[in-house]
Amino acid sequence: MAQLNIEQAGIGYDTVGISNFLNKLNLDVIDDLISKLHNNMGTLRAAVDQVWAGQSANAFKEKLERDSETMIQTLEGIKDDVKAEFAQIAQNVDNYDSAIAESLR
Amino acid sequence: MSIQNLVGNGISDLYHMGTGTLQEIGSRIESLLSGATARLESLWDGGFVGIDTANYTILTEAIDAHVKSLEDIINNFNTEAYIDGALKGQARDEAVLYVKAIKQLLEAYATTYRQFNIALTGAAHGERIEDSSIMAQMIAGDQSNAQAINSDAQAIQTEASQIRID
Repeated sequence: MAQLNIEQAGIGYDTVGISNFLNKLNLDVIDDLISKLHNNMGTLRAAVDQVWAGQSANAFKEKLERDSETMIQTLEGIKDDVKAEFAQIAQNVDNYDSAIAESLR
Repeated sequence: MSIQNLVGNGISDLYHMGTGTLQEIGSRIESLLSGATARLESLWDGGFVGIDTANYTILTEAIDAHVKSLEDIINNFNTEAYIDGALKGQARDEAVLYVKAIKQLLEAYATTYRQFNIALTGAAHGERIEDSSIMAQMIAGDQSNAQAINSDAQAIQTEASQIRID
């Protein structure tokens, strides 16, 4: 039986490929960015403390924290949206496949 | 329903396999980004009182390294290999939108902190940065460093409206 693959298709998704894509996007990209934002904060604060003292320095450290938190929250939002969207795609394709199968009975 | 009807209806349905049209997905992503990029693009206006002008580069280098570490993550994500090997049609276009959103978010963050570094460098030299070319000229020594700073400063002067989902 001829086997279709995603490269030959005009629409659709490959179940293994999409799993790899979501893993890479969510785990390697989004989670790595979030980890870096968390982990680098200590180094950044130490650098500020090393060369800067006073109210301006404290205010800048607060900005670093706020911006890091903004980044993390937005990345989490993107991650949730990606998961929901591609779960819906998978569900819709399954529904379509079921409808096709039902019509063949 | 006949196979022909299912296939005929399904082709157009499958093209919109997710929660909505590409425009709806884009609008949703833009909503996620708009507030965040506005906050991230808030430039530092707290001054540099108390800075150690002899050793300020410890901070600028730490910020550069931090921003670069984030950029390396997204730059190493081989978008074409993962997206084109997995998705076709609108699903592929949606995946591209999500990756683009992450890059735009990162760009807003990186731009703000690179601008901070330029302003800090100027302050350490006792100057207020009004013109990126003045900044470039102020940095004595390595011409390539001056050109890089000038290029960065000019890039930062782009319109905020350019940082948006197409």
